[in-house]
Amino acid sequence: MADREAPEDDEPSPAPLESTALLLERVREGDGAARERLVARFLPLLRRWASGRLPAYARSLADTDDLVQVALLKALDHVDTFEARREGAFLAYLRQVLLNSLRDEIRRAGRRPAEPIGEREFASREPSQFEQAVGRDTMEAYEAALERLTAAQREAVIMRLEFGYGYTRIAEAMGRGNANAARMLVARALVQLAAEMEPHREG
Amino acid sequence: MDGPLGYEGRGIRDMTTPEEEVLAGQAAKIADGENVDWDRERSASPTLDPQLAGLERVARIAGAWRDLGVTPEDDDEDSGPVLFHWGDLEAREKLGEGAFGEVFRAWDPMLRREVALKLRRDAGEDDSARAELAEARQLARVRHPHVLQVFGVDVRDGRAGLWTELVRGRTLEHELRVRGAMSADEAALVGLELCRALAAVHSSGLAHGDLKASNVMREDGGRIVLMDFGSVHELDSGMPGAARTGTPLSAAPEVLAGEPATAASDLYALGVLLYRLVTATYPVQASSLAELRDKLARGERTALRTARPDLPTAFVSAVERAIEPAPQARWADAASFERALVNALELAASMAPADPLPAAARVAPRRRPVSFSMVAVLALAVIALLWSRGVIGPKPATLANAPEGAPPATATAPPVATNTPTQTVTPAAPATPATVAIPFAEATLWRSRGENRSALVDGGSISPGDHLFLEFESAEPLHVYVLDEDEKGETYTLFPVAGSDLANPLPTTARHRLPGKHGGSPFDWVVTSAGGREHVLIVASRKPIAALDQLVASVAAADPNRPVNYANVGDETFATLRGIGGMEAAPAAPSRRESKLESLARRLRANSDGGFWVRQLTLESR
Repeated sequence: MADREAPEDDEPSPAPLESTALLLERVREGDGAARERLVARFLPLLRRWASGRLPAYARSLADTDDLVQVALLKALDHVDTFEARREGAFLAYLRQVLLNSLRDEIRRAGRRPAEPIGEREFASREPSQFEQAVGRDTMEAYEAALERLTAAQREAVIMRLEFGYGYTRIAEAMGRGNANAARMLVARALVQLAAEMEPHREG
Repeated sequence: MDGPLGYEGRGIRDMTTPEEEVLAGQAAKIADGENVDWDRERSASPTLDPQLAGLERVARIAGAWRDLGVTPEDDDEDSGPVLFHWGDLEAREKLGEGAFGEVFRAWDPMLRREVALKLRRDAGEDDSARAELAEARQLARVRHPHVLQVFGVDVRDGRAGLWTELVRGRTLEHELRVRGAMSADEAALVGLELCRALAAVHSSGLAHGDLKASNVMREDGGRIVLMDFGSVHELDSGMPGAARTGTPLSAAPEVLAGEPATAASDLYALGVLLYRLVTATYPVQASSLAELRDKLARGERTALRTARPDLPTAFVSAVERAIEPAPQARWADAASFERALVNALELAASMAPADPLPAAARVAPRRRPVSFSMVAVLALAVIALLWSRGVIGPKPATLANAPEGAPPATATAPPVATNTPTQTVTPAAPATPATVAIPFAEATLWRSRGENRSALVDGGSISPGDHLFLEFESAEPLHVYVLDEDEKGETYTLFPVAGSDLANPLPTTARHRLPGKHGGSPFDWVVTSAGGREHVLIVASRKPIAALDQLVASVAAADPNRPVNYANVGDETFATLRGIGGMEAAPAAPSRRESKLESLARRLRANSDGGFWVRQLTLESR
């Protein structure tokens, strides 16, 4: 914090003036401006997230920005189909849509072995940066464990670890009282995540 | 000013069990992007090993995301509404209050971080307040990882206050309440860090004055932090201490009698704290100050050995010496206390059984194998930490009480508790515990060349012309043997040697420099040629060891007349003992055979009755 500078394009935006929940509500009501603001808000986050999850060869097949934008617009098209009053729920939904889009892109490129997606993500010979960093087993255990968490726990983990949300923002996104409560939620979620990962249970 | 400046249990305070608190604390560190010493955490909480292993895996995932550029937003600035301003500081949340004033979590826009703000209710204009503030300003100069960092002291808006780092964790008092008494190893680890903290405070010319469990915090992640310097004052101020002492049961007798707090009284308080950590009680219990003074005057206290008969002797003796009623009978300084605690941990590590257990160990009280393993790892980590940080200072190779480099394989017999006396300790009572099996001693093998001098550790290297000598100090007369075996298997006696002014048993009068003086001049051992591996064996024993005496008599002794095969050596080398010599070019792949001295060391340990310690160094000659 000591030398925080003006946020770059790829940095999370500061605490929003309009809550994501409010913007989502307006999108539901057909507010085009709200839709654009939501896209602008989440595009940098999702772009950075996707860059870590996309295998190098897949990044050459499709422009990441296009991929992310398509996924984002797809999610907004279905804004009525999920509980998105909380920003956390919306972000988790976005993540899942994007993950599926990435898998689809890889599958279409014909570079991925024909096997069910299931929990096995990006089963290619060229792992994503994230997979390279943690190893396939750990990545798969992580994804599987995330699925076994409660929705709130999953959202807390995703927001903190994968999207770098501050606790204040997580509190707002989760409808929790304050940053301390959000910190507690994240900590507990990580403990549960660790428990679900050990031992790694397939399926 | 009393009361901790910490933020106890922030964010995890409603966790239901101590185990959950530990896990949540580590998880919070992961979420905050902080590093966690997982080996240490597992050693500290062995029953949580599977869960901590899982969290370590999660930490790798979090680290991977950070490596991908995901840096959690720092939202401290937004962490709550501003209650009020005190100068530039923004008070965000009240953490506590008392007669002294109030403590707040605050935001410092200059430091751009959260701080703890402690405000008096007044402007601090009376004499005691002015003295406190002046002393707090002095404390602000103390910089040590285990001492609460004071950022500043001031009078603003009509209120005096100071602001410090905000420590998120739990006090040791809280841990005692929640978890009960600790093991000796865990308490010793706490004691080590507090010794270092006190050393920093004392070296600044200050005394803490109120060291107690509620003034020490274990930060989320494990760091021990010495807090609350409300009673801190200059060592030479002469200010009476009794009136300012918050906790009589932890106060040294002389402080209760009205003398000022000193480094010695701080060490007493630390001794009481460690006593309390392992017993959940005090060595002297009283319901009134008068009763306390009366008991202290009569020398009545419950010996630690009585309160916890199961504790290792080395730990017991270290603590008992710290709480000696007479200041001069206590440890000389924090560093001495720290060394004693290191010894206690090393000794615990050395109790890890070899396979199979030697006979002596089999008859001794045993702990569960899992405990042995845990203790060994724990002590190793501590030793490595101390050495890497240079805390032991210029003596990284200081050896005491059988500190083997590979504790799990060491079979030095553990001390055997032959009785568990209930005793009334008089003020003049010696520090020696009732049951001591392994002598307390320190030995450091030094290498010097010209003005340069460095301590040798196992695996260290030596070169032709190097002077080697051993510094040795013990609390009781001991027989010391130093032997050397070179690459070819030739064994030499380095000590005892004829002609030296030192002979066994070495008296306790001073720190000795071996091999001693010859004709009034100090002798060294000198490396005479390069190449190969040297095994140095150091044994200290209360009684002569027949096997070693026979060996000493049968092998060549160090030869003071042997010249050194090295050009740039002065005349003084001709007055050296033949110590490490006869070395030839080493084979490309060093032999992995067990040297004769290694074998001897193993046999000694296996047959030890606990009355001696063994140290072995392997040095590369280049």
